[in-house]
Amino acid sequence: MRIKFWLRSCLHKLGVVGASLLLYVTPSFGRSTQPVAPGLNSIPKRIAAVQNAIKTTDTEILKGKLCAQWGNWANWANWNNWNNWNNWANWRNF
Amino acid sequence: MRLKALLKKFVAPWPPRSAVAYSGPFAQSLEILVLQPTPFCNIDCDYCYLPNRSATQRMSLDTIRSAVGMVLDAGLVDSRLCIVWHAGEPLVLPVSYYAEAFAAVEQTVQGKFEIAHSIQTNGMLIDEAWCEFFQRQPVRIGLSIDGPAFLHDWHRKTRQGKPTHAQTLRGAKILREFGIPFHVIAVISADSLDHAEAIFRFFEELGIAELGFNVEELEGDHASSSLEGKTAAQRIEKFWQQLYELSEASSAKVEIREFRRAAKAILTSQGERPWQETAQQNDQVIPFRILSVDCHGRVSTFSPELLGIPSARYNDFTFGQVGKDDLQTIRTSDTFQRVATEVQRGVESCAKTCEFFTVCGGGAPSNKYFENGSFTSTTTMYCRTAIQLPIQVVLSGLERKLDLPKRSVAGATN
Repeated sequence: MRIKFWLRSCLHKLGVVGASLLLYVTPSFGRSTQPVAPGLNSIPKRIAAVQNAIKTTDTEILKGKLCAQWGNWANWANWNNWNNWNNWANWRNF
Repeated sequence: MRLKALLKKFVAPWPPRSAVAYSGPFAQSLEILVLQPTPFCNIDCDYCYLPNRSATQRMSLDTIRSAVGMVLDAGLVDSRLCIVWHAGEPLVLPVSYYAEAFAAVEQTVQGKFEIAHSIQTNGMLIDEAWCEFFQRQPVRIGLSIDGPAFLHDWHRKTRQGKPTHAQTLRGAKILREFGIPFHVIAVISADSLDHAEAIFRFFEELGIAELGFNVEELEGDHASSSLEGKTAAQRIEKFWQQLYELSEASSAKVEIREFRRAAKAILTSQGERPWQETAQQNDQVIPFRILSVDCHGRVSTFSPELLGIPSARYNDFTFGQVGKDDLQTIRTSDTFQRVATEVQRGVESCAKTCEFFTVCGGGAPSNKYFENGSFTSTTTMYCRTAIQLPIQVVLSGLERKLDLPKRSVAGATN
C-alpha cells in the first residue's frame, strides 16, 4: 500500500517537473496573454513620447495644438497637477 | 493552456493559499464609503447585476452611524468623507429617510471633516420635494440615462415592461428648474454601438456637461453581455472613436469621463516603477480605499459590485459587520485575507503581462471574478472595452495633436 502511494507520489512529481520544463522551453505555450511588447508601438513608449513632447514643446505652441475642448490647456502643460481633481471619486464606474 | 489549467487544478499550491497572509498595501485614506440603503429598485433593467433588487429592507440609522464610526475610528478619513448612496434605487426611500440619515452622519462626524454626499439615481422619482431637499443639503446627483428614448427604453423598463425614458427626463427637467447640477451615466450595450452620434447629440442638446459611459458588463445576476465576441469588440472600438471625434468637434462642453480619465492616466503615468506603486492609482485593488456597506451592515471592500454576490468560497464577499467588527478585525478575517491575496496576485500578473498596466493599475477585481472566475486572472472584456480602448483613442488623439509619428492603429491586444 505504501509502495503504491510512494510510486504515485513520484509519478505526480515527475509530471509536475516535466510540465514545468515544457512550459519553460516553449515561451508562448499556456499563456493566456502576450508579454509586454518592447517596440516603439508599445503603450508605455507611446505615452513617454507624448509626455516628452508636452514637456519640451513651447507653451504657446502647445496651447495651439491642444484645443480648448480638453479643458484648461495649462493643465496639460502642468500635468503633474492632475491629481487635484475634486469630485472624481464621486463619479466612478459602478 | 489546457495543460496549465490541469496543473493548476491538481497540483496543490505550497504553502496552501489560505495560509498566505496578505502582504500588499492598505489604503492610507478612504476614497469613498458606499452605503446601500436598500437593495430595492423600482425598475427592472435587463442588464442589472444586482441579485436582490426586489427586497425592500432598508439600512437602519444605527447601521449608518456604525459604518461612519468604523471609518473614523480607523483613521481612514483625512479631510473629506465621500459617501455614495448606491445600489437598488436610492430614491425609493423617502426624503425624510435621507434627512435623518444625513443628520446621523453629521452627528457622528461632529464637524471634524467635510462630508460630501452622492446619489446615483434613475431620476424617475425626483419631484419638487426632492429638489428642495437637495437645495438644503448639497448632494452630487448622477442620473442614469442611456441616450435617446429608443435606446434607453430598450433596456430600462418598469417591472411591468413599460418604458422609463419620459419619466427620467421629467426628473432631469425638475432638477434643471431648481438649478441643481447633475451628471449622467449611460450604459453602452450592443444596441448603442451604431448610434454614437445620436447618443452624443442627445446629451449635447440636453446640456449635459459631464457624461460617463458604463459598458454592459458581465456581473452578478447579469451573466452574459451583448458586448461579448469579436464583432462587438470592433464595433465598440469604432464607437469610442466616433464619440471622441464628436466631442472634439462639438462646441458644447460635454466632458466624457472615460476620455478624461484616460487623459489623466496618460499624462500622469510614471512609466516603469514597482507594480505596488502603480497599483496605488487603482482604487479597486487597494483594500479599504473603497468600503461598501449593505442595508444589513455587512462590510466589503475592493469592487463595490462584489458585496451581496452569493459565494460560499468568499462568504458572499462579506468581510465583517458594522457595529461588531472594526477594520482591524476585518483585515485579519480569513475571507478578507483570501480575497486580498488573490487580488494582489492578479494585479501582479497584470503588471507582468499587460502593456496597459502603467495606466490602469491592475483592472477591476469584480470583472476578473465574474468573467474569468478568478481574482488572480488578468484581462477581461471590461479591460478591453472600458479601459484599453479609451486609452488608445485618447493616446492616438494626443499623438495627432502633437504631430508625433503615427503609431499602430487602435486595437487592444491584451
